[in-house]
Amino acid sequence: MQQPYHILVVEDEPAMQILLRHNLARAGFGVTVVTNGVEAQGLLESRSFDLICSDVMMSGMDGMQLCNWVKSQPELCATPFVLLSSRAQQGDREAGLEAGADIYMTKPFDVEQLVVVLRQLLEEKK
Amino acid sequence: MLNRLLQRQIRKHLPDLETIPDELRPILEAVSASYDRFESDIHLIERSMDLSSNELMEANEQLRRQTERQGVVLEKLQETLEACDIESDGEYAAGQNDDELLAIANALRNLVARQNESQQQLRASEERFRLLAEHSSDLIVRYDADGHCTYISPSCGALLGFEQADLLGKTVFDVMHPEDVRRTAVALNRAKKRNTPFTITARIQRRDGRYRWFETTIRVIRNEMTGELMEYHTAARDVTLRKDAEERLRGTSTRLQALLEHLESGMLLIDGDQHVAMINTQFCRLFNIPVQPSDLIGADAAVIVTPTLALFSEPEKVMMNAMKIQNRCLPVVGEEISLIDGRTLERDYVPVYLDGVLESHMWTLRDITPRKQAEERMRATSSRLSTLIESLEAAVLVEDDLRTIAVVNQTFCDMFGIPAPPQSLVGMDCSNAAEQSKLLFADPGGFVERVNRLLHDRVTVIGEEIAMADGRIVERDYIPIFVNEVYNGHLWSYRDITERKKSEQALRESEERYRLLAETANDVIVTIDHSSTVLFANRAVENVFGYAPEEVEGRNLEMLMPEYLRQLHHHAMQRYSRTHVKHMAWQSLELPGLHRDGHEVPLNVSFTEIRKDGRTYFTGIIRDNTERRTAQAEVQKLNEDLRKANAMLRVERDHEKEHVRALQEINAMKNEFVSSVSHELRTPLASIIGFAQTILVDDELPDETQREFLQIIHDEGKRLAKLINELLDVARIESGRTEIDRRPTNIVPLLNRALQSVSISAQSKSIELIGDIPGREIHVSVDADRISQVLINLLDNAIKFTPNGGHVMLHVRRHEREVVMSVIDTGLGIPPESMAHLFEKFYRVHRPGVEIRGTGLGLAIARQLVEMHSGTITVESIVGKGSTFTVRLPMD
Repeated sequence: MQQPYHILVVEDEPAMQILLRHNLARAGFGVTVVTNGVEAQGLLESRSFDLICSDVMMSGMDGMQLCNWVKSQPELCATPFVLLSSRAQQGDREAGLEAGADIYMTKPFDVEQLVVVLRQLLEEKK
Repeated sequence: MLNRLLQRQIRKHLPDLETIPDELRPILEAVSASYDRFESDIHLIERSMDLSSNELMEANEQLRRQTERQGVVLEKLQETLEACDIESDGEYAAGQNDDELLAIANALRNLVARQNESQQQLRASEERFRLLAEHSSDLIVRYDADGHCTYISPSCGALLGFEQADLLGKTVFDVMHPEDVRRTAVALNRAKKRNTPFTITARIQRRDGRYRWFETTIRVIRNEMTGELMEYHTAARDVTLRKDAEERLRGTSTRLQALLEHLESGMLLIDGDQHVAMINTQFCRLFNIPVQPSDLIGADAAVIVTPTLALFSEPEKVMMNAMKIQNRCLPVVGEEISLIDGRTLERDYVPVYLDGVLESHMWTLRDITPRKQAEERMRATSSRLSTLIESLEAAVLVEDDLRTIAVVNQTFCDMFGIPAPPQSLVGMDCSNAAEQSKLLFADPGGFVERVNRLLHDRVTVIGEEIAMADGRIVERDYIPIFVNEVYNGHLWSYRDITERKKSEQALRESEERYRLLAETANDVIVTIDHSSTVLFANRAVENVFGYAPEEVEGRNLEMLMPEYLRQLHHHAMQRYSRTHVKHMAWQSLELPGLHRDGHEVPLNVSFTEIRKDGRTYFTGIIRDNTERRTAQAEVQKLNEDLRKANAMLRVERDHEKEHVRALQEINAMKNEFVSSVSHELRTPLASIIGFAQTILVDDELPDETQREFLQIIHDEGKRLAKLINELLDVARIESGRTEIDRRPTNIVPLLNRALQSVSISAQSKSIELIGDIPGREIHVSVDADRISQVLINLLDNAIKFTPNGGHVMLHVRRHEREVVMSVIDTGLGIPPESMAHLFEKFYRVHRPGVEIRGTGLGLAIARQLVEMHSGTITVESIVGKGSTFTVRLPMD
């Protein structure tokens, strides 16, 4: 039995935390949820994840900054990074990809599609 | 001997010859005769043998074989005789032995025949040897047992100058050099004991008294039966020449040894058995061998070589090489070997052949460290020099005394259009180069002549200018090179100075133009030195001042100034030359000048300072201002007007810019607002859609989970609705479409109603809600709904951010012409850095670990509404203690 992929979810909205945890767990992934970039950073310094799925607008360290940081760490930069953002203005997506995100997805999103995208990313990585 | 033996035996065994069968008698007689002959033969053979030759040896061998055979025959005979003896002793006849005897007789007959034959041979041989001795160039002498000469070959005439008869009967010692006598006698005695031939080299005196060296082989001849000494046979050869050569060789050898010792090189000669044949002190010194070289001769070469290995930087390689070289037996010269102490040795190997046979190996080693270092320095110098020449901008060609190119650089090749790389030219003969390249020069004949002149004179000539055919101008240096006052070659250096010449030319022309310009200028141009002496004045000085330039030059500039300015000018000059600080403007000075006829001339004067060669000059341009004054005033006025107009335009432009900046700001704010709104709307929407989808696709969702999700959808929906309402409020307020309906109102009931409306949420968190509101009426002109909205919002926030069991108070007071309403809580407080942004749209205070939701619009709306009432809203807060929001409304 293969070890399930473990995904780090970074999200400050309680409802969104519940939604992501439920659906990712149901898809067979291991899920760890933290509420902002600083927490995520702290956790990533002690252990690794197969994929990071982060909100953008968070207080403290936001998703862009986290993504930038992850992609600048030699041992973390290979980890796929998905930005889930409610910012959908012109240029937002470009800024996200510029920060190093593999996928930039706007809220609201299709839950099933999200699962498909994450799985695809994880397969690619493998 | 054999004969006697036989006779004895016959007598013993056959006393009566009559009893011997008839057939046997002649055989025995033949045998007896044969033995007689045999003995004489042996004597002959022995004598001939001593003349020693292959032929004799062969004969000897043959005789020996015969003797063997005869021995066999005799044995047979013996047996036969014994058999006969037995028969004669016994009764029966010897009939059956007859056959045997016949066989013996046959054998003996054969033997006799063969002996005759060999005797024949021997006689012939003896004849040959006598002839040989007679004609031999060697001296062949026979001495008797007492040492007296019995025979001497005729060569004694040629070799010693004696007749044969002169020497017969003399002893060898009669003609021998006294120094050699003892030695020879000793050798002779030894030879007598051992009975072997020996060779001795001794000096024999010629008849003319001179001594010659002879190498003499002496053979002692004894009687084989008795061992008695019979004769000495000698063969002597004149070896004086060889002896001399040896003597010389010995001298040479000694000299060689001395030479070796004084050689700068270390030398080691190893013989074929790998033993030291020769070694010198220098070799020992090179390898720090603490032994006298003479003590090492004959030692195993390994004993010397092995300890030296540790001194080499690469001992294995050196050893392997040496072995290879020695096996190959070919000379190897100049092999360089480095030692660990930094020295470098040069090793030569020469195989030494004697008469075509490898006799020994000669190794010579020299310490070439100083030479290497010198070479290294030389190489470095040479390399530096080459690099230097390579990189020179000048074209350089160095020729040696035979006019062969030693160094040439790329620039040279470029300058003279030589396509080959400079390195390839080194070594080429250039004795005809001038002739070959003359067409490159404007005056080919002159060029060749000049070159030949320079080469002949061998005197350094620097900086000759030569025109090239293509219009370029080059500068040439010729430098002869003398090493220790011996002419060693010379260096040609060419520089293309076309550009320099051009710029010199241009400069000259330019100078000419400026001089002309200065001369023809309408303005006066004057140059003075630091003491105000006029060095130059142009023609115009005459028009303005009435003096010709010649009248001014060389005199003090003060002559052109009114009396009262002269002192001033003098001080100014002095001060400036002391401090170099300008105390006045140097441009467009309005000054009066003094005309020759005594009237003052209004002038416009400009000065510039010129420093050249460490001296300071001043050049003044002086313009007669008489006619210009009025015009200038008009221009000045026009300029002033223009300046004013410009200033106005600039103000206009600044306003415009300000406006644009404001618009840009507004635009940026709008964008930010739209972005924030989009975000705020999308967040709950994402939850609603996400959870709805989750419920729809997952049939197996447990009921309670489903309920939980529906609750979230419901909450998020309500949040969305509230957000939309507030957004509409903001939009209305900001677009100015919100109208407040201010009426004089008693606000006390309004305040109580606000408290009432939040009491439920306060109770749910066990928060004590305190109203500190005056009992009497307070009348303020307000829009009651809007102010209620503000207060409820503040109270809501207070309850939201106050932990369970805390306090929230509404404190209201009149203060002079204001009503002051404060909402005080014992909540979390607001961090100082957030205070400034608190009333901005969508701003939320970040509190780690606290998840309190809001739209981020409440306070923004509150402030807008309060300000619409000409009031203020402020906040004070201490983190961890609580916050106080205060609204002040004017009572008018």
